[in-house]
Amino acid sequence: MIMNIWTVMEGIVMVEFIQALKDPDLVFLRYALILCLVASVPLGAVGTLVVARRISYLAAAIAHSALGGIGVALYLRESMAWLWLSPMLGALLSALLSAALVGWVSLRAREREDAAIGAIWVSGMAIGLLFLYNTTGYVDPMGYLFGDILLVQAVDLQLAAVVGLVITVTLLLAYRPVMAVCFDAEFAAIRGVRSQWVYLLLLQMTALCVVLLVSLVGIVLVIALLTLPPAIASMRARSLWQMVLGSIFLSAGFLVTGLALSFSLDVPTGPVVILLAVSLYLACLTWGRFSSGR
Amino acid sequence: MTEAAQPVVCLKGVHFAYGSQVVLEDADFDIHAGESVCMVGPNGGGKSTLLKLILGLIKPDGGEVLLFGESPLKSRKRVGYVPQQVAFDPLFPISVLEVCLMGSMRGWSLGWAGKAERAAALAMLESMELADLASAPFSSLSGGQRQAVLVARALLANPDLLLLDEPTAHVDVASAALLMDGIRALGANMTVLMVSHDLSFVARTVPKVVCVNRCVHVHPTAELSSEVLNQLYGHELRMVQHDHEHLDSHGGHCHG
Repeated sequence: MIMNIWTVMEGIVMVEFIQALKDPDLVFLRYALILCLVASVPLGAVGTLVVARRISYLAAAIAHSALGGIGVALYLRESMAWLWLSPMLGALLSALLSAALVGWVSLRAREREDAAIGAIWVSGMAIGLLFLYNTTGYVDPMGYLFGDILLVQAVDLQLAAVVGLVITVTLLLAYRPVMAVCFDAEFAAIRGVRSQWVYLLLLQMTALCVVLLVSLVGIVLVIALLTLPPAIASMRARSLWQMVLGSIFLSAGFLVTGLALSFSLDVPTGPVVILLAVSLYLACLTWGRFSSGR
Repeated sequence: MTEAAQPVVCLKGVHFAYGSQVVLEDADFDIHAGESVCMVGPNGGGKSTLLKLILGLIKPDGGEVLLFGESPLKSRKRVGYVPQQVAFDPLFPISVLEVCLMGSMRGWSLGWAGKAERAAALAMLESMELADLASAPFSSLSGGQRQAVLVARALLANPDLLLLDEPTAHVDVASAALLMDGIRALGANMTVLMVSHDLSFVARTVPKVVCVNRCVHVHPTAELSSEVLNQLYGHELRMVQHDHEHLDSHGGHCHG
């Protein structure tokens, strides 16, 4: 009975969503849908490595520090009339810079690594908020923190396509060394793999993924999309490749379903996507414990 | 000096500290080609640090470490390394064959493993009686099977020196003996350096022991006495007796 009601509701939502996609006035919705599909590939691939290497904390620090670049870019656009400096470009530059910093600290710090990473995390946010505060006119940081599909523009799609292609080609070529470093960095180094460079490359790819999804789910929620689909996929995956493919399909499913639901219910997309992912994760955990008799 | 005459591993006055905590002081010892040597000593005594120095994963604060007469960074590709099992994430999704194939990587190894490489890895697993488990997840194996896979991975590199960090830590006595027999069968002339807390295993397996507790002393295994061990570990040891040739009155598992 409940399943039947759910299926009918789901059908109504999807029909409404598909009709809206055809509406010429709702071009942002088409952009958002394409972004969801394009971003799922790098998101699933990089998220798998983040979860497998257990560096979610570092990924969260990189994501949050992106606000610094957004704030600086918006401030310079207004005060210096640098119109070419878009908030997304600012986010990209600051995410790449903080990924390099986080990586350097993580590789070099013998102690108190977590405190140093935390300092990078909050510094980025503090810088961003200060610059936003001093930017002429009202700038609402909520859209960048928690996502706003109205922020998605054609340039984001081009950026997503390029970034997605770069990440996919890199991983296809460097699958063996990346997997080796994630599983056993010391052994990989002995076999001649530049483990530290691979690790820094992984953090840079994480930064690119974060920027892809800033407009859709925001920098606070993006970490959930990087970690939950791989965590769910890992429950069944027997190899890293299976986990990557599972994560890509799950990411696409969460993003598209969340977009359709949020549009129909007229609520923000980011929280809906995250709650869908969290619900399935908890359901899978519960089912796993129930079926194993624990 | 010719390749045959020079030591495989040579430490000269090596000093290392983590911050203000000195771990190794003036460490000197050589290991020559074909030798089998075991490092023993208390936890925190510097055994793992020594292994990392030999592998070039860390640099000494003073002194010199030579591997095959060169810097470890240049020659560590000639080393097969079997780390402790506890270092691995039990949830990492990787198959037994994928783990083994890491042993045949040379530098970046871009692209995918070729047919010949996979065949060599499968043959190595076959020799360790693990071929049936090639596609199984590494995390699903028992402690002894995982240890055997890690040894297969190290041997796939066809190393001149094999380093093993506590190879008997998670396996029973019979499995440990089988593992060592397998290593000897696959690399009769290979130089072996291992870390172990199992003194009866050490007594049965190697003729030479490196005692490490901040300072380094080398002894023939037959000369290891309770006095030497108590000095090394800093207190009386409780022993579990086993039958073996050299240490009838002293050997056994160390629970110090």
